Amino acid sequence: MRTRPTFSARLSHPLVADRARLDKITDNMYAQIHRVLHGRTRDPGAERALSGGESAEDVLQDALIALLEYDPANLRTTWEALSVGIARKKAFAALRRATKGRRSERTAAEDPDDVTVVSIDVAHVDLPDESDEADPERAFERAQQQLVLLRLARERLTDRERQVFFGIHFEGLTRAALAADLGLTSQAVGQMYVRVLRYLYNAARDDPTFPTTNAPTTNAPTPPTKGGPRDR
Amino acid sequence: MTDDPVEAVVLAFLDHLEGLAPRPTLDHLEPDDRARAQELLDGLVAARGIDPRASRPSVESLLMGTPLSGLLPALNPVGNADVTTVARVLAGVDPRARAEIRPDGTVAYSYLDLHARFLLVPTENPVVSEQVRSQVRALFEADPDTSRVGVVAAGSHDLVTQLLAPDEVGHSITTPRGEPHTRWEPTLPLALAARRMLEQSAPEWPSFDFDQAHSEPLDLTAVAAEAARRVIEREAGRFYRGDKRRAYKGLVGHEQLFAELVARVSTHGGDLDLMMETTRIIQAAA
Repeated sequence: MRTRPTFSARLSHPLVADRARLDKITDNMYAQIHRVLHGRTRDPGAERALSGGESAEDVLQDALIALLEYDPANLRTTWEALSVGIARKKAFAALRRATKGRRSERTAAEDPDDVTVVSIDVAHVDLPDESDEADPERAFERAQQQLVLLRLARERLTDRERQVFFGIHFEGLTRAALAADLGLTSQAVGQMYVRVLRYLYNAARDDPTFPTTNAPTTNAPTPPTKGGPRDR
Repeated sequence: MTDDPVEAVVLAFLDHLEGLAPRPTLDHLEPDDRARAQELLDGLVAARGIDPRASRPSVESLLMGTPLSGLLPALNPVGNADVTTVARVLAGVDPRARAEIRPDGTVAYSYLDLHARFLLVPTENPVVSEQVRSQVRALFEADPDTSRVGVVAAGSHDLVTQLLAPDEVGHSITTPRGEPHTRWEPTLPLALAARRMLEQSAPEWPSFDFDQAHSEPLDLTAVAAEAARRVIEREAGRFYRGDKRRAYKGLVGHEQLFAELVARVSTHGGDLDLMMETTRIIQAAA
């Protein structure tokens, strides 16, 4: 049985002592939670709150408390990897609570609502799970990379580029939907996206916070990243 | 079309995600390109669901009111705040604004035309002493685009901040009652001070959908009928005598005739003789 650390033990928790690391991990947990809750939703424009009113922030609070209550003596991996597991577990639990009793598309018409529990897999069937569940270290790193790209996008892209990049990359909007909004063709939106993506990755490789430890090595030349994607 | 085989794969993967095509293979790519493509596709999958417009709540706000709130002083030891902490707090205030640590040990905070600097002072309150005042003045003079300087008390738990404008650090005139001629902004925790400054300088307006407003066509006939009804009701209620009284009383209940007239005028333009049509309606009503 797992025992809870005493308050004095919590004060000496490694993450309490290292605020920068705790913030980085909390950022990553927030991203992991959003991915679980909204990563494969079929409606990108849907309200980002679970039925029942629970939000990603509520789940993050649960996850952060669980992380800080974890006894360092029991740690068998890194805090980063542990945080991924905790965040995803809490997010899936929140999803289960929110979807409990919801009718599945596969539910027989005669089944009453109150006994039909939609599994997460049925609620989100479109994409295979490529979430690195088996390798939380890698999942942490990948999410961290995306957070760096997100910061660079906020800092360096024009409004229109940002709308295209955010829409396709994070929100799962179709190029056709964005094209209609922006008065462009779908092909032009796709071209803008790949141009921005290349620019951001090149800029990220010059960024000291971009994790590349386990990233596949590439001999591809890294063009200079002065200016914006429009100059490339 | 793109000439880059990796970008072509990314576009094909978008087709796949949009349900337009099967998942592309990477077999045709050279090893380097394959690795690069795999990284981009993995990143695209890893990014799905992250809310690019959300700002993560601070650790302090997440732990406040929980059994772990006792950890807060340990997370923010008095006097221990540094520019990294200030930059981190500022970065979490609004995703539109940019926080950047400058070589002079201050944190620049900017959004559009708003340029501010945040200066850490090793005190528990953001007291603007003569020394601090000269530092603030130097920051304003070094960059005329700077519109605010925040003095942040590094020794306070919640980074209490005093925001100053350029005219608040010069030589001031004291009123006869001994008060300064300008009142400084209240001291606030850093995040709140930055939020207040942003809302004053770059307020966010809720979006308004003009297209939706224009998409509801005006029913001219209904508007005309309603206008006619109100006018006739008002005039018929007055104490007119003789023909005028009879005319208005007779028009009550015939408002639709005016509405039809408006509809015909709006359809036919100048083809109708308005005076004749109006006389015809009045005669019909009488």
